[in-house]
Amino acid sequence: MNSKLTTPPNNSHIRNFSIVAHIDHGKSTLADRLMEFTRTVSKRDLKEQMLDSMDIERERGITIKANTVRLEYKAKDQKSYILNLIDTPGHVDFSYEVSRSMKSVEGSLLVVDASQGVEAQTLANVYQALDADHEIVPVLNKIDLPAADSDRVRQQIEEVIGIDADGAIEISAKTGKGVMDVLEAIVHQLPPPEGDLNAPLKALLVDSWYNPFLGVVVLVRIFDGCLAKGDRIKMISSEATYQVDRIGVFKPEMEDTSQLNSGEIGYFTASIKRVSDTIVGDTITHQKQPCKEAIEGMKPSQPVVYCGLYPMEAGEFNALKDAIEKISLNDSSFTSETEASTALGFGFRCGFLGLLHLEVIRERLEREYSLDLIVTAPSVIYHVYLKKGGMVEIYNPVDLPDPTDIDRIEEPRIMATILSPDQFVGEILSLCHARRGIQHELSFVEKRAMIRFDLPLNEVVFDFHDRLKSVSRGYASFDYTILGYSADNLVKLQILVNSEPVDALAIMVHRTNCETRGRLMCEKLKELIPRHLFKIPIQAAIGGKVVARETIAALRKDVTAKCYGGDITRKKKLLEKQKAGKKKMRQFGRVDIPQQAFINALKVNTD
Amino acid sequence: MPDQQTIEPFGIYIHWPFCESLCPYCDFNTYCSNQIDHEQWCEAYLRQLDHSAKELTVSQCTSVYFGGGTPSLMESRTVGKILDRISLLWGFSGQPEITLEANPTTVEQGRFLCFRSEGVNRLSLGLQALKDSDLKALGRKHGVKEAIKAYETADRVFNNVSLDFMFGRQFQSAESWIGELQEIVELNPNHLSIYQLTIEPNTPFGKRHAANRLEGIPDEDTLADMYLATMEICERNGFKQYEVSNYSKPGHKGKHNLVYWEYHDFLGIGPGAHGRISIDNQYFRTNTILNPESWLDGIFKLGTGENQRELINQKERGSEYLLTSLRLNDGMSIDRFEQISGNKLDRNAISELVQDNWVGITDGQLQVTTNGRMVLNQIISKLLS
Ligand SMILES: Nc1nc2c(ncn2[C@@H]2O[C@H](COP(=O)(O)OP(=O)(O)OP(=O)(O)O)[C@@H](O)[C@H]2O)c(=O)[nH]1
Ligand code: SF4
Ligand SMILES: [Mg+2]
Repeated sequence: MNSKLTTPPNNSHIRNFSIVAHIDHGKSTLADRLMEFTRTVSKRDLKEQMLDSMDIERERGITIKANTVRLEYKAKDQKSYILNLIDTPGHVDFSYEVSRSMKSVEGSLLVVDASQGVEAQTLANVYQALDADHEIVPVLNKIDLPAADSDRVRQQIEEVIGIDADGAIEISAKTGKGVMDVLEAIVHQLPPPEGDLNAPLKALLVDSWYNPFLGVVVLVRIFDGCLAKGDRIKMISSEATYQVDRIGVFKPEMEDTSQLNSGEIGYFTASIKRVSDTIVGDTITHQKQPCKEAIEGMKPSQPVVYCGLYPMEAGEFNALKDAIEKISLNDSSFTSETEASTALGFGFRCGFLGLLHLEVIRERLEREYSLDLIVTAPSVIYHVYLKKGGMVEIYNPVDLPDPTDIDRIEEPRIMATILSPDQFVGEILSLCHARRGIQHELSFVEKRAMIRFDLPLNEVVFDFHDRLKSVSRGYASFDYTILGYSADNLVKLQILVNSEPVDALAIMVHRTNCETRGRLMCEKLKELIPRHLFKIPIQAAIGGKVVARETIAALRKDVTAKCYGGDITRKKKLLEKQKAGKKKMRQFGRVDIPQQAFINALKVNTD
Repeated sequence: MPDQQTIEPFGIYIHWPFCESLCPYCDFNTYCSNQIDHEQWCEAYLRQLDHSAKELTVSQCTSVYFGGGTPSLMESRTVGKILDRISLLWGFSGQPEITLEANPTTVEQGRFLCFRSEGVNRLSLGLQALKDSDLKALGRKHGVKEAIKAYETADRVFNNVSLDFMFGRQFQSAESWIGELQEIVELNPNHLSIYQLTIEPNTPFGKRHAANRLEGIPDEDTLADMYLATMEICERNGFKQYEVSNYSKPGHKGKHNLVYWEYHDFLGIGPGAHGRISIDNQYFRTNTILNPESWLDGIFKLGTGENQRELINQKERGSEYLLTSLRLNDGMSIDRFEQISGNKLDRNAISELVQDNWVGITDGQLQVTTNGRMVLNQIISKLLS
């Protein structure tokens, strides 16, 4: 993949590979089996999806961060091999984790759920693997399921992806059936790493994270040379130099070794203070004897979705600030900047890789830091070109300049790839058209449709995925890449509650959709805001023009029927509980708006 | 003897924790049992009274209320002995109100006279509905005809009867409730307690409701209409509302319940009974053991079935007074509130509420309007926050 190198004899027993698949097709479960069958972890210590160690990963049953583990395998040829496995996330938000993993290995196991077939992220991830020149071993998983149809899926792999699936291995990662064949295939079908042990050190910084005991831990792949404890190293892009403290491999726990050689994957620590001091994709070399050329860098991951995060209570601003700083330490794709809202006070405008990423961060803030948050409507970054010249990037609809000063507004568009059983194509096409999509491709392989649409990211960010799942009864899958910016007729839709605009509810919409969206939001808010002692008008407006309106009728009855001797304490507790419930609301003028309403207002059930 | 007017009311509540069968909406502390040792229970109540009298020496008793459960299942002798003992320990002030709750079944009706002769002077009958099918759905063991007969007997015997009814029943419309109300007022008792059926969480109704299997419960607007109609029809027929769910003919307000709402002391005796007592200018909330057997045990081993006593601090006392007195049409004395709580009422909150016609102030009494009463919980929250 880089220089002309030959395979040194000492590398022939190493295989480096990643496991890629669509979300939930069984990557992490296969990783469990590989650990079990190679006795890396004893059966007793093995947990399900063991490599998913974050609380949120375990709870949601998904992989968010790529994980590495070193397996030692005695193959049928009686030789011992070292297999470095990287388990990757399947969800599109975390595809960056996949792409950087690809650079550090030579092969991929492409796992396809034999009961589901090829899905959007199967495609997206396998293309990344092909781009990285990987050897690919197709694996058909979940053959224990009655719905598994290996022949059909094999054909799909050949026709949709275009790779040979004759030798695809049929396995059940759950029961372990076929897993030995996978191990043999890794040894015999994937190439050993190339590289020159005697050349100057050339290593790729694959990932880094903060460990409270060790400081920053760096995951590296050594291409040339060798990295040893005590070495003085230099990071080529950041130009920083460090001395290596610890060095080792994951089994899957960290295990110290004395050095890592060409072809190997492992970690080191070097008294690096912050994760932001390391650049993913950077080249690491020796300070004294540097390598001649750096490894081609990686594009840093860019947040695409922005929203406001506010503390439920103004007094918690500093706590939120600290928590956000701590999380950013370990997640460079999460960005934040302070902002102020008239409705919500001081908070942060935060950037995320997508909605799942947003959810995950929100959950971590709430759980790990016991914060109560208000999340505002997600937005993309708009490029607003001004009549007087120049362009401003708008992360929050509230900041939109006066419409009379605006020449045009450009929004990001994406290329969406949707795979679905053919019977849902009609519904999916109308969903995409309703979201201002431009159709690029519609093709069928067997009974499977591949649909490609150019869509505004804005229309996809919020509930597109949910809608897609619901119109396809859960069968369609979706992936996207960012295309770039283009102009459209966009306006800011404001929501007025009790005649006052609530900035945190403002969204950007296409002019032709403003009435529908306005109506749906008003209807939803009517459900979400509890009745008050007075009636509350809810309006959606573009500039000064009201485009939709609903009214929340006044509360008519709220009185406890019975209250005698013993009920008094109980009743008081009830009132206290109500009060506590009120705390989950934000007072806006005379109206209490529930915390959840700021985001749920956008969750409309129809298109 | 001190002047009637200045006697501080002091009530005694006696809880009888047994019923013939359990109604699915009821969350009172009550049990079904066919092995009740009446002698033992009688002795237990008397011992508890003795025990309580040791620390509560001052007040004269102004009212006794036998509630439950179904206290009309008590032996009348027990009732008599309890009243005698109270008289001995504290004495009764001039005209004490002695109420007993009863179910309007034929069996119980036969015993009204006995209760009367033991000293009970007011009967509270749980009619609940004037529709047989609804009575059945509520798990009640009586029918309408039987209930009316029981009422007529009670009226003859006591000449002071209160009837309990419930609205907001399954499949009930505002119109049918209005028709039923008309029949209710025509029965012409001295007192009416009319409650909205409340779905309590730990009851069979509560569980069905949570599982979406309690059908036909009227919506908020219908319930509001029913409540408004209740207040109007009672008023029009000479039943003056004096509390959220209580209406009376002139001179027939329930004295005992006023003890709760006007925030005076009361003793609570029997399994699960609550009390509120003051000793040396300290105020306590008392709780008793819930389980009947354990309560008996407590009494016979330790002399008391009380199991917990909490000090009520000044601020709490203020909010409790506000919470209960605003339920009354007479309202809350602003002076008394400020004296009890040691705090000023939030004048701004009050003037806002006055402006919006939720409350009014007459002779130093803060009173909710009819509008305000409909949303009393909201008003109370505003005043307490
Ligand atoms: N029946 C059956 N279920 C399986 C098999 N392999 C995995 N699963 C189940 O499929 C679900 C997803 O498995 P994971 O291993 O978490 O999938 P993943 O590909 O790592 O998912 P992400 O990391 O979120 O993309 C889990 O509930 C597994 O128990 C299999 O061979 N048979
Ligand atoms: S009779 Fe009265 S106390 Fe007994 S269960 Fe029925 S409602 Fe409850
Ligand atoms: Mg996984």
